[in-house]
Amino acid sequence: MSLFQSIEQIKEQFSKEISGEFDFEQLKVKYLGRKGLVAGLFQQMGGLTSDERPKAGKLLNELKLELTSEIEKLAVDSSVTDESTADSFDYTMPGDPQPVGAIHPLTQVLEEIKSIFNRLGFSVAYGPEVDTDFYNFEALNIPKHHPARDMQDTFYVKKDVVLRTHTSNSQIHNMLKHDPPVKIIAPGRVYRNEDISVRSYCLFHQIEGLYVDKNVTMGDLKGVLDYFAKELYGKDVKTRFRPSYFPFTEPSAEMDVSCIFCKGKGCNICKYAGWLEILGCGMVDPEVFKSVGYDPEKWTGYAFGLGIERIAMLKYGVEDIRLFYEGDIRFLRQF
Amino acid sequence: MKISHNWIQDYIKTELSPEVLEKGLTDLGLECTLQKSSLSFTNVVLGKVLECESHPDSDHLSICNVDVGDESNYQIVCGAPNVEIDIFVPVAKVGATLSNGEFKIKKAKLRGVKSFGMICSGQELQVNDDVDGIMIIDTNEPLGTPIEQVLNFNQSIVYDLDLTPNKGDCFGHLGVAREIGILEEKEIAKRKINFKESSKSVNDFVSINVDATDGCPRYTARVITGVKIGPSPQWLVERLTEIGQKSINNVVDASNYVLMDTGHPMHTFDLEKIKSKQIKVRFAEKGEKFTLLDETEQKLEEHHLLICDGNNPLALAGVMGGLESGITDETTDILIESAYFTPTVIRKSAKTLDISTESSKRFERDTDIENIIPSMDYLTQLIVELAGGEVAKGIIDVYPKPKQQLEVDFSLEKCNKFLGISIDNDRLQQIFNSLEIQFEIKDSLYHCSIPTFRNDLEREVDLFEEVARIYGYNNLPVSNAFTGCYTSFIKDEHKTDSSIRSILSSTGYLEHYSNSLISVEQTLHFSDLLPVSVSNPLSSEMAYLRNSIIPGLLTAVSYNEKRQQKYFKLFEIGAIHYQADSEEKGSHEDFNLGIVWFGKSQTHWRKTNEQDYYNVKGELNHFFNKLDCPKLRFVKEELEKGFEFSITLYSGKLKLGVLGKLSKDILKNFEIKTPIWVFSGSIENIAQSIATKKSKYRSPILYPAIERDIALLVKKEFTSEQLSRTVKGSGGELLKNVTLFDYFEKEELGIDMKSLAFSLTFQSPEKTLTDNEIDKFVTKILDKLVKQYQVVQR
Ligand SMILES: [Zn+2]
Repeated sequence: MSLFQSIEQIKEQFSKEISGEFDFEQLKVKYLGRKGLVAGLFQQMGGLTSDERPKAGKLLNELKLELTSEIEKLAVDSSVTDESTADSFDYTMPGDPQPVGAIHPLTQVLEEIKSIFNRLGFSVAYGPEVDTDFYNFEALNIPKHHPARDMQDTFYVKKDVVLRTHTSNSQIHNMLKHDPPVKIIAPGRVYRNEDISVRSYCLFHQIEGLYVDKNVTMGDLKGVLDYFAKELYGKDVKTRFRPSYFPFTEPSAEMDVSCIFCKGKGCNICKYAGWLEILGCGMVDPEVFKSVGYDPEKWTGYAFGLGIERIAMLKYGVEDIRLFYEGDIRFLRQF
Repeated sequence: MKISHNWIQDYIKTELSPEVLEKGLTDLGLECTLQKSSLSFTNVVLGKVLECESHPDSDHLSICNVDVGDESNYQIVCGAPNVEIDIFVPVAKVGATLSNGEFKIKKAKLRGVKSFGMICSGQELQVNDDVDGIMIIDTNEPLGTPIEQVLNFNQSIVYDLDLTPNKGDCFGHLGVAREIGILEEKEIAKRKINFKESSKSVNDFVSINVDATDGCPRYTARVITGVKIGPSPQWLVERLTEIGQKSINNVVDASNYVLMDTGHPMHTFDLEKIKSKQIKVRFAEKGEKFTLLDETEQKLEEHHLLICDGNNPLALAGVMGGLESGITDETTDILIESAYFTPTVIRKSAKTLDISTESSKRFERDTDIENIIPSMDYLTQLIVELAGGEVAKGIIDVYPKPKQQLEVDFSLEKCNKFLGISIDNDRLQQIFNSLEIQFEIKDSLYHCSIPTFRNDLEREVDLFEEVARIYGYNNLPVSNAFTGCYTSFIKDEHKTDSSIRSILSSTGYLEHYSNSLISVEQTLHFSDLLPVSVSNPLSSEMAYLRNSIIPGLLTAVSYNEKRQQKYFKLFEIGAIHYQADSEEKGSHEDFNLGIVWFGKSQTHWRKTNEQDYYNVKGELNHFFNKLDCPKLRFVKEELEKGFEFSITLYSGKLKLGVLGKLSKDILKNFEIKTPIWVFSGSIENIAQSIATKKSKYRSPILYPAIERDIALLVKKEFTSEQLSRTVKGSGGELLKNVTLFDYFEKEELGIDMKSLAFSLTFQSPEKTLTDNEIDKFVTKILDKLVKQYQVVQR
């Protein structure tokens, strides 16, 4: 039998075999396996003359391609017949489990706030959690024996070294490192020596904003924070500014937003005030500029700071601040 | 600080409603909450008992006929022992309510006798605590008048102020009245002082000597003799009660009252107890002991300021009196002290003893040096009015260096620019007038004289704030544009964090935030780095900053295991702290990534994702590949602290972190029962490794790839990584990939042997490789493997 006849014969045998019942794996091995029928024909090429060889090689390759593609088709068919099309196939059984991950709600809120200020051109900067009295207090116009120190119960590491009580220390670090203009936000963890309860924890997270440039006005401050509030809570939200006191800003203000739950009508979350306090802000006090070597006659600026936990508690309706730090996966999975 | 609406009327007759004032004060920076008390009853009127007979079936009930001014009288059964005819009483008519609506008066029958109403006791009306009988009223009011009117109940309206530390001027009714004056656009009244002095001079009673003028720039005193200590009159008790102060006796109450009124703290001494008749103001000696009014014995420092009798301490100046020198029921002669103490001295004095009093709070925030004598005169007048006595002639006033008037220059142009407004001179002057700031204009600059009660206005910018405050923060225009430039870009050092979070969260990890304050034991578990301790911790459980990211994760693991959770993966990114080698350098702050795998696998009908070493390693591999950390290596090194098995993970030569299994002792310490896998690594190194990755595109190879499988029998002492590295090293550059696809051990293979099978992929960018060519490569590889590891091909 010539090689060409053998090719025809194999083709015929193959089509006969696949029209009846067959084992797919066996079929594959029989025809295309290392010691299969096609491989056997390739071996016979040795006995051909050099004239015949190219033609035979071409035909054999065509045969191999043809059978391969047929078998691939069968492969798809057979798997379909084997499983999902069978009547007994229970498509309702659960698929392979993929554990649900989540980014912490505090990170999510922080990222949202960061992205709003990023869009306004604020860079992200940082300050250390363990810092000296100078960065955390003195340079921020909070001298020793000043009643303003009572506003923040402080953890001390040793004399003149504290766990920072606010992210405002980042203002000083960054102003000392960079010449004006400065336009940063500084997120981070801060510590307060307060008893742990539903409403307070020994640590929390803040984000600080600082903008120093020529001719910055209090109107600019209001503009940026009003934009921020609308980005965070929607364009219908209203803002209100009240005089307040922070040693490192003058004038100082608290910003309230119209209650996002009752739309300002009054509810138990806003204590029937219609407003929610969300951040403190003000124009950078000239004393702060002096302590970092900026000329207060030349530069003005504003600063603001807000608590991430506060925003997150309002956003998700979390009433117990401790839930953020317990790591209860039933809590974490929900975000 | 509580401010009474009624009390404020002494200074200013308010026209605005309390609600408007509440908002107005808040807008002026005095965060204000309005508290209105309401009557506990309704429909209780004045009645007169016309007839009163004993109840036939009761020995304590009376049947009364009561006139309440209605067309007919009512029959009311009353159980009080003091009911009799011709007395005026409060009558709750049918339909009236008591106890804030909880109790409603209905027609009733008491032991067979009808009753139309109730005669009330003081306690039932919540007017006083009198439970012994009904309230008998002495009045000329017509019958039927609402009882609240008869009893002259002033509804209590209190403004609860949350004062910021700079608002020392608002620590009394006078100061708040000034702010209300701004809202009402009215001037406030002054207290009228009118008392007689005796002919005997104050100097005949006592002399004053101030050594410590730094701490006490001004000290004034008056003497009153022959007072009679007794209870305070009703009006005074009511005013003090309304703002939450307890009544003690007439002299002490008067002193408290004036404190709450003018905001200036004064002290009253029993003159007889000043034996030397010489008051001396001096700083304490180190270690000097002194017993305060609250009976605590204090050991003093040199910065504590004392008021002394000769050299004997009488009071801790501006903070608290001594146990010995106070007013008692026997006191007849009084010395009133009204002084100005330096804020920082009082602050330090109170703070170091951990004391805060109404007095120290005010001195710390600075007081009005010019208000000392008016306050003292008001107190003197009040004491004489309430307790009698004679006022000695004159005042002792030790004021060696009069305080300089605060002067501030102010530019309207600058102010307008700073606040983004454009007010004119008229409006500004109006604002200054309302603040009692006097000014002269020279060269378009305002030379302002600051009133003595506003010690917080020292600089031009402080006046800018005042202008903004009065103008209204909410009236300042909002600007919508940035005027600044873009040259302030600072690189975000923590950019990697968000990639880490997004990869891990999308592959099933939950992010955790743990308390970074831990116990000393926990600092010893995983790290030899010296932890940073807190000198005033909340508890010993939170006395140190974490020096490893692992303890916080384990606490969470334990928490969840105890709540029947079977399977989860947690991660945390956070700072760890440790002490630097030398004292001056302080401490280091590093950011770490911690991951923990808890549980075997998720319960499921198809057994998948067994959480074992290879699974965890695979997930880490995927994670770091996704982050773009190149050249990952898992290396067995010395056992990490706290681990029973640990593998170090490198990217090239950079150590990324440690993966492993914790020791049984550690798990026991954290009360964890299930074995867990833990990774702890350095964010800084991870970020650095990402930065080394070259991201350059390589075009896909056009020619087909050819696979060859090799199965090898090899001694167990050789690792799969050793073999695959040799395969890669000897396979030439056309060997593109080596994958371990099979592994098994069997007794037939020999106890120390294992079988490994690798799949090799060859590919050339230039041509289709022939079997022959590949055979040569494979032979070369096998030769090398045989030589190096004595493998046997299967
Ligand atoms: Zn609300």
